[in-house]
Amino acid sequence: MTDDIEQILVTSLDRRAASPVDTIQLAATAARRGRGLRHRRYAIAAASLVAVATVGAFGVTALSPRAGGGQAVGSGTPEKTRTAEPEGNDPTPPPGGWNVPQLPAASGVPGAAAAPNLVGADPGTLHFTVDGLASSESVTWETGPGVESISFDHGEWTAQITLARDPARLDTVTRSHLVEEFSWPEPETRNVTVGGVPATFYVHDGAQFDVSYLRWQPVSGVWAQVWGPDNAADAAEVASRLRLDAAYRCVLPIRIAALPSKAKLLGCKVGLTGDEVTDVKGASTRLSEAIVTVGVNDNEAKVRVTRRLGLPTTPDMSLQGHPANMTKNDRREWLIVAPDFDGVDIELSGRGAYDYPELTVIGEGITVDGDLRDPATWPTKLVG
Amino acid sequence: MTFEEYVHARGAALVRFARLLTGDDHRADDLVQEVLAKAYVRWRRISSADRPDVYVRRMLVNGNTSWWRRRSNRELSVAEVADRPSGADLGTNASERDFMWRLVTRLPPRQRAVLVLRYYEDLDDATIAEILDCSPVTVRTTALRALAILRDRYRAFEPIMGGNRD
Repeated sequence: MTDDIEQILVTSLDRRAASPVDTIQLAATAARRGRGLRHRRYAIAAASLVAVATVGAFGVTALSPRAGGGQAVGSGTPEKTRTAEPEGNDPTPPPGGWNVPQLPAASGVPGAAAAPNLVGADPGTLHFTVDGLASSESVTWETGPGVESISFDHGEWTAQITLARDPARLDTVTRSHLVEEFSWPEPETRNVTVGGVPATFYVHDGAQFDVSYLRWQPVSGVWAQVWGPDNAADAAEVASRLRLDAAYRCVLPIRIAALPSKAKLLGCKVGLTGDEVTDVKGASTRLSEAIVTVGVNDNEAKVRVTRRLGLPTTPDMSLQGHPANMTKNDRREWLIVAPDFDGVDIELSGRGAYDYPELTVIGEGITVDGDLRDPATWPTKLVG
Repeated sequence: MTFEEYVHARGAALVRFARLLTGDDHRADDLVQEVLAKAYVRWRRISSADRPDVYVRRMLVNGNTSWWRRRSNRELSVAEVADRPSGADLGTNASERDFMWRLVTRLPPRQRAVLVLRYYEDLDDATIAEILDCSPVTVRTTALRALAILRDRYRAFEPIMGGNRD
């Protein structure tokens, strides 16, 4: 039998790989995601372009508005059934256009313009916003060590604006976008201005992908970065939409009652869709993904919340009475997955010294609360 | 060849290749979409290459390897990696195939990639080396090492499998 090991391998691989593939859908999805990466077709309103993007010595002197006007608002498009799984696969906006809800305002908290020292200091708060977020197909707000960011889609392109007091933090964010190892060759730089403030557009010409981003200091003590657009003019236009005059709470539809000893909130991420989608059980939601990171030093746990995706799991434990599955990865780190945990999928993962007991403490204290379509109804505190 | 023509012609093969690389159908779909999206951005350059398929498959292998590192190499439970049973599976050969697949899923990503490229894609060592950006000798030794592991593990469980058949 073992003499036929290669033949068994061949038949095993053949059988495992075989099943139909929808190449039409694949091509459409890949092309759309590719356009999102390239951003070349972003239509810019001429007026805003003139107002904000002064592009100098590198030859990008003018842009022409393109058909579509940059508004991803449908006009009489027949309503379609939107399902949870093909997120991002169907860019057709609903009849009323995309409408991403804003996060709740952090009352009494100043924006980055008034308090630049607060940027990146509180993982529960973002000290800026971006004009036009509501008409995006989806928006993701995120905080982490020393950084705050907002990512948004608009039709065929996506962009991310990140604030940090330390520009090295922005490097970390940029690297997180890269699928492959990146050698960081010396970049080309281009000087532009954003609202009259000098900015630099960097282009690293990688072996397989270019990496480009725009950086500037919108106020003293705060660095900003636009990631996504592959040309200085588009990046500058995106940058012009930065608003530093308000603060917003990063909220999730869960609350964590208890943390391991000395642990604190380290990061928050929440993604919302511009239209209601249905999860696998038919419930309406705007939640795409949300993550809370808690911990201390290098020990941390992440609680990931998504709408119900019908995860294939084999229950071998329970979390507050909900069937769950626990596994360890190659670094012996725990992962607990609880599908359909009071209307959402919950995933807990631990790093460093955070092991099963710590994850259990966190998991046993999770409460799902609020309308998944409306972040205004979500708990005001992530932890405690 | 346009991007769409390429995907229509080669997309199914890429997804099947990714299924074997990742061991997870959903992850495979996502990986292929991710890689093709990046290929779309550089399509003019890629399509002008001698063999764009080699280039795209290298992107898939790199993307999968990178994903394993980035996502902490989540270990899939047996239930997730095992083949779904069907009426046609209820035989000795099916057991062998299922067991072999489980062994393959436990190989390191690079060894698995070499085996998939060799025994599923049926590529020669020179082409595999091009995809994996290594020498043909490295491909050969990696394949031999992977086969040795499979053979050892298969032998270790062969008596058990034989017992199941009775």
